[in-house]
Amino acid sequence: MELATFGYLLFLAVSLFLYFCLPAKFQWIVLLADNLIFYCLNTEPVTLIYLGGSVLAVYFATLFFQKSTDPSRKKIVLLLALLLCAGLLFVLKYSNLFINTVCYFMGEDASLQPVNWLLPLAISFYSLTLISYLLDCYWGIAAFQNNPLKLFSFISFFPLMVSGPIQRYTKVGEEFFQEHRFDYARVTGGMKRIAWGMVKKLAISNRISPLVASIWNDPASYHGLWIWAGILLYLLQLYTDFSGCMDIALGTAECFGLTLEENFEAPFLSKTTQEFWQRWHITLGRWLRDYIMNPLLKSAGMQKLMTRCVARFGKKTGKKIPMLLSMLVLWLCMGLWHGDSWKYILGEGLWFWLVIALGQIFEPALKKCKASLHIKDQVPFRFFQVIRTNLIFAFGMIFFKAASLPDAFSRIGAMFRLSGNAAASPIVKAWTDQMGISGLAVFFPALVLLVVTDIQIYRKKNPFELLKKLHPALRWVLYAVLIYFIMSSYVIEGEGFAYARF
Amino acid sequence: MKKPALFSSEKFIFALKCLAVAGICCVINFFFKGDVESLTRATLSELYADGHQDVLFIGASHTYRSYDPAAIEAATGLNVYNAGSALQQMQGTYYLLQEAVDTEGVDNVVLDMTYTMQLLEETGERQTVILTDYMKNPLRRVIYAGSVLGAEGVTGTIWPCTHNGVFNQENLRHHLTGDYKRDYSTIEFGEEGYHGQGYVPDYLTVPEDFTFTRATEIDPNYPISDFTMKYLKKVIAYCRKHDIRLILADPPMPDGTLVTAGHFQEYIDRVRKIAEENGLEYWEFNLVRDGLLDLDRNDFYDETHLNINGAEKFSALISDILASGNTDIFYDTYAEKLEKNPDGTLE
Repeated sequence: MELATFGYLLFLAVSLFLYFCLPAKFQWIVLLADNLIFYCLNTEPVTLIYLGGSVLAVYFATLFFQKSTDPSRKKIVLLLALLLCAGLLFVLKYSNLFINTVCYFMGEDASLQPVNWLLPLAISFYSLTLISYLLDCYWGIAAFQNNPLKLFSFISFFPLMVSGPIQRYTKVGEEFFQEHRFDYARVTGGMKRIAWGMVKKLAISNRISPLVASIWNDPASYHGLWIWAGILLYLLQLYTDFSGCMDIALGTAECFGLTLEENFEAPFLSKTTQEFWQRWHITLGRWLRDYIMNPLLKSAGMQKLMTRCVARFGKKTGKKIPMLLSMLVLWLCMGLWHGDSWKYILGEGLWFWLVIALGQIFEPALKKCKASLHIKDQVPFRFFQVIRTNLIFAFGMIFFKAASLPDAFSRIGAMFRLSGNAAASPIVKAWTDQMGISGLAVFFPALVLLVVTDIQIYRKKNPFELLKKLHPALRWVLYAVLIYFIMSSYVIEGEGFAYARF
Repeated sequence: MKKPALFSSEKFIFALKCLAVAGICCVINFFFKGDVESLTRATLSELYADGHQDVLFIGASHTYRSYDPAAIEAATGLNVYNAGSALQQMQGTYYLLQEAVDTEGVDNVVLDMTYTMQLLEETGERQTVILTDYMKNPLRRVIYAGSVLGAEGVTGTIWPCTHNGVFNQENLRHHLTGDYKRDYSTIEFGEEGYHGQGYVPDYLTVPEDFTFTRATEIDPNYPISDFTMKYLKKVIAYCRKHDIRLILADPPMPDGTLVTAGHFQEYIDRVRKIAEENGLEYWEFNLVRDGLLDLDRNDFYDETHLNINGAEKFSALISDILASGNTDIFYDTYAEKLEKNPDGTLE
């Protein structure tokens, strides 16, 4: 069951009806049933063993933390539980990375065959949520959940079982099991958000997808600037796909009375790559920061290294080295999280680390340069910063989009090949013909709405609050238009959510 | 603590707004449904208006391209109807048959047993929605669409434009100007036409250099899928319950196709066994004796369907059978038929 479908809305409507009709003590059971149904509708039910096994392991580990007073035993139990959760993730998701790498270096001597595991739904997302709960319980930050079924219900919350966002028990756990009465503002707010998510996915992402595919699938004809255009359009497709999915997931949670962490905050208006990643897939970035980078920075080994570096290179540079090394680990994990291929480690990981690290190293020099050139923080310079940041991001995303690492390098090479390009008109004409005037009349206004809402979000304003200021008649006209956008885009054959395979 | 009211004003306003949203969806659906030229819409709307049926032909494209109800009615004086729809499978037949029976009853059902449709393991989306979009009984619509397509199927029955919508000016014009409600008794669609009562003949003939090849291979050990059997049993039980005479019938296919499909005799044996076990008649028109139905390449539209010439000849034979009641017109085996009455499509 795809999130951006009317079938999902029907499923949600029935769930909400039951949820608000039943007494509070049964509400979590409705969610548990919903989660199980949603899970079984979307993947092989047998894979529930992995999810159930991981939840049970974490439950017993956290139970042990409650009962035991022996820190060394607690540590052993923590390591065992971590090994199980992370081990399952690694085995199920990264076996082929290992096998392919071994085969690459050993050639025909390696008799390893790629494996095709049945993957549990959203393993990359729920594993991180479980690990964060486990560590938070170990550190004494999170409250212990003494009902394993409730823990299972939280971990497998159905709208998050497609593409996240990755939630923390410390932030939402308590609210998750509180009594929720029907709240008009929250339910209608959630539904508006779901509708907006569907507009993004159906009216923009699915509509731009054939154009992106035409450019990307014909590298012989389309190179040079075409690759730049293709990857920028792909960014639009990916952003509206992923953030649309998030809008539906967060809107669903809102309907149930839950406020979850945001995953996007107008990333394409960022001025630096670092800022971009603070606005793009926020929950993953924060998770890696809190559970990988910060613990690593605080570790005894890193502290020793810092002392040595300070002694050798001075305070400023000495402190920066361990920080950059920790960041490197974070970005390698970021790359690895994205998939079982070196293209992710290089493109999603090392590339962005390199850009951010160089930015930090040369920041003083760049500031001096800017001052000497009398460049002020005004609109033209900000515009330049935004464009530069988006191009850097686009470059990294070539690795994401490419079929493999060699394919990514070949695309990058082709980016700078300017001769022999095909003319623009046939491909654009084919796309506009396919869309028709009525399709274009949906796509471009939806795009304008996207820009307007993102500007509002960047300014820390809630775009849905602006809706309330409209005259009711005008507001309902807008609703009707959005419904038309959804229904008219519904018949277009689209791809599934890009992050649903993670 | 005071318990919250089950129906507060907020819930009431919310319900009203939900209705308003559903209403907007209905308006959009009304103007952009993309079925102005849908044959199934014409077939079903005529079926509901046609009253009691003496004979109902039901099945996939081999039905609606083969049986000419007007010719059969003229020859027999019976009221007959062709309830064929594209890619109709046994599950769809089961639900569509109930719709027909609900419309003033049916006495005889001639059920399409073309082998290609009986091998499939599940019902596809297209063949489901083209029926559920026009079925009258809303509960039946929901059960059928829901069983095939889940929740998505259920919403599709409310707003068909979510699967068949054509969102352009021309379609909007059709719906605004009344083109949508035009008379469908006869209408031409290029190489085929709707001739009323569900009959949709093809006008083309296979080209001179056309080679007949198998449409689907027959598995001798599994000539009919379990899925088909499940719904065939339901159809049989339903007809028995409603005292309807059920006839399993296989319209003619080119011998060139059946020979290359292989194991057609095993398929015949399987259907014959089902018919015997359930006390049904089985009319296998690929076993018709010499001189009763002489078909050649010019009677076929493609590797599996009769064209208008073939349908005319076939409908004459059906009329004779219905009028005389004589069904002793078949060879015992397909090998015998091939030997004594090949249809001229074999290389």
